[in-house]
Amino acid sequence: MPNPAPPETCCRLETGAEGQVLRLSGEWTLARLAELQTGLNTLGIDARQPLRLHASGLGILDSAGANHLISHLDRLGIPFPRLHLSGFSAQELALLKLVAGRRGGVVERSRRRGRRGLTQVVGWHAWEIARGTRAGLAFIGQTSQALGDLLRRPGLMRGRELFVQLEMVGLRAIPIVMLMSYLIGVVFAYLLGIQMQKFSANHLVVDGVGIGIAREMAPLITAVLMAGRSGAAFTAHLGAMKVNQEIDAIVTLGLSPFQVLVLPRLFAIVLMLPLLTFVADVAGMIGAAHVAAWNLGIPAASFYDRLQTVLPLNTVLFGLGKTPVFAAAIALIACHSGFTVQRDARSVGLHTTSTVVRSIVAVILINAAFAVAYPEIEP
Amino acid sequence: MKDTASVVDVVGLRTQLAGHWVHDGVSFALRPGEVTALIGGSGTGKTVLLNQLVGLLKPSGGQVKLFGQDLAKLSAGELRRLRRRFGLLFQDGALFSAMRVAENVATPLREHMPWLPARLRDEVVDLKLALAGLPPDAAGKMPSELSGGMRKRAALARALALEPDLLLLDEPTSGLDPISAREFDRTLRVLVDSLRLTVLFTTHDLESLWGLADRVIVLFEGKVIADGPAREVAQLPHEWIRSYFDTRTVE
Repeated sequence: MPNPAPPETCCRLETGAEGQVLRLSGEWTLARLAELQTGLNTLGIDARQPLRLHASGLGILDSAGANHLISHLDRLGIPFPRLHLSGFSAQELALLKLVAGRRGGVVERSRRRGRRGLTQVVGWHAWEIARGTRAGLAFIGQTSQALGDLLRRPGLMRGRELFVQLEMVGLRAIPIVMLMSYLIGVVFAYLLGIQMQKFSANHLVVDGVGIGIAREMAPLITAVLMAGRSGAAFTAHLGAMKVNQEIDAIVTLGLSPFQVLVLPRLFAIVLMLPLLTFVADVAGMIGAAHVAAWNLGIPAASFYDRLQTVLPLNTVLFGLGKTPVFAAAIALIACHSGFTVQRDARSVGLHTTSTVVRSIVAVILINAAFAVAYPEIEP
Repeated sequence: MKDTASVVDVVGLRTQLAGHWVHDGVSFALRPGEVTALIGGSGTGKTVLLNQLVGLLKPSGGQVKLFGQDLAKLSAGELRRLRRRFGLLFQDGALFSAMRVAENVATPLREHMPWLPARLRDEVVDLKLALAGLPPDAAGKMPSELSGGMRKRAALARALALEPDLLLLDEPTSGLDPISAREFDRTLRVLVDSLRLTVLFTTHDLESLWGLADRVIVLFEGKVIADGPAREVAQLPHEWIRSYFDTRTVE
């Protein structure tokens, strides 16, 4: 191969008797593309006269360089077949021919970047919301159908999967639920205690904490925790299975993904959320009792004694009773979201995020509905 | 010529995966401009070997040299510079699913040649997509919207983006129809001849073996049992090689 010429010259135009001669020199490579562009632009090639490419000084030619040369001349109005080539090696000629033959149309830039106008974005989102609602309702319908099948044929129950999920959703969540609820109880009792001390009514802390935790805080905190913990796990797991075509495989084997995947998760979380909430109730009360003993001068024995008289059982049951509804909402949102993952990695992340946000919103909305529907609870 | 100029140098490579010796003393060298096929039964560590060549996996023993540099002794910066000089086509493409096809191909250019103006970068991207045999409208699509064969071509375009000296291909023609596969072989042949590309590819496609490869390396039970032109390798008396070439010709 000839030695590369000094880097600043890439090409020289000579006009002679039989037309123009473009002498190529130096390296025509990807790394020097910008210099080649400026070099070619300063030449002033006349498209009406015949053009000969002469490559005696050419160092290295790669596909990007060859493409740039051909594209530039093409834009000037000199297509590749009209060029006269001389001094190229057989390899360089093969490359030029390959590039000239394969060079396709230029893709419109806005389409490639995927930019959309405002109306398109609004329309697309509206369409997505409508489609999502419809798909969500369909999902609830399919789950109910699967539930009906299960009631008629209890043999469809996937015991193993259910117990795995019970362990994942329930057992392993106990430490974090206890810790969270204990801390909430501590903070609640502490702040309430500061207010109550102003009226020398320390013992009323027990009333406030008891009702506050049993009715609102424990169910809500546990449900939010479960939405973040189990909801995200459901979506990510089902989404990864979808990406891996495992769900298709389940269908192909003649099984129902609702029986195999959705119902065990639904049952697990519906069973476990009330139990975890009860654990949270207890932990919250213990936290409050500790603060009452240390800060407010209420011994633990009197705390629990008063709790028995001021906290009606119905309040506790009301708090526990709304959690299966939260749980069902979390499971349905999470599983549906997992099933609608597209076959790429980004989609799994997007859907997991959306599960957590949507199920927390759903839990808080349902809780508000309960609060409005039952403002007072008969003791 | 052999030692000083070789692009890839593998010496006494040993690999243990999950308590099992996948490679037990694999050695070979690739010279510039050579197209080499790596064949072997499933599970003989072909893909593992490719991953070791690009520094994704560390061998348990032995030495891997790329362009004369020992991979194990390179700093992160040196490895990064070295990575510009080779492209790897993963078996199932491994396109970035969050990016459109054109952006996938533009990514190596953007990362390694940030000085390149966007217009020129797009020009290169269009060319690579065309060279890989993709229609122009594929550029704006997401990888999830493409068929398996199209994904493979897009991945080839990405591997070719930086004009690499060394191209490593993991089963490039699997999942392609025979016509596209032969087209792929022809394209690669021209690129190899005109750009002095060195290619190492694993394959189960006997047509590619005959049509494309200058040389065949056979892995069997952790060792290289044959290394030479396809025609010579096919004549070897080894049992596995016999059945490999026989089954394929019967088909």
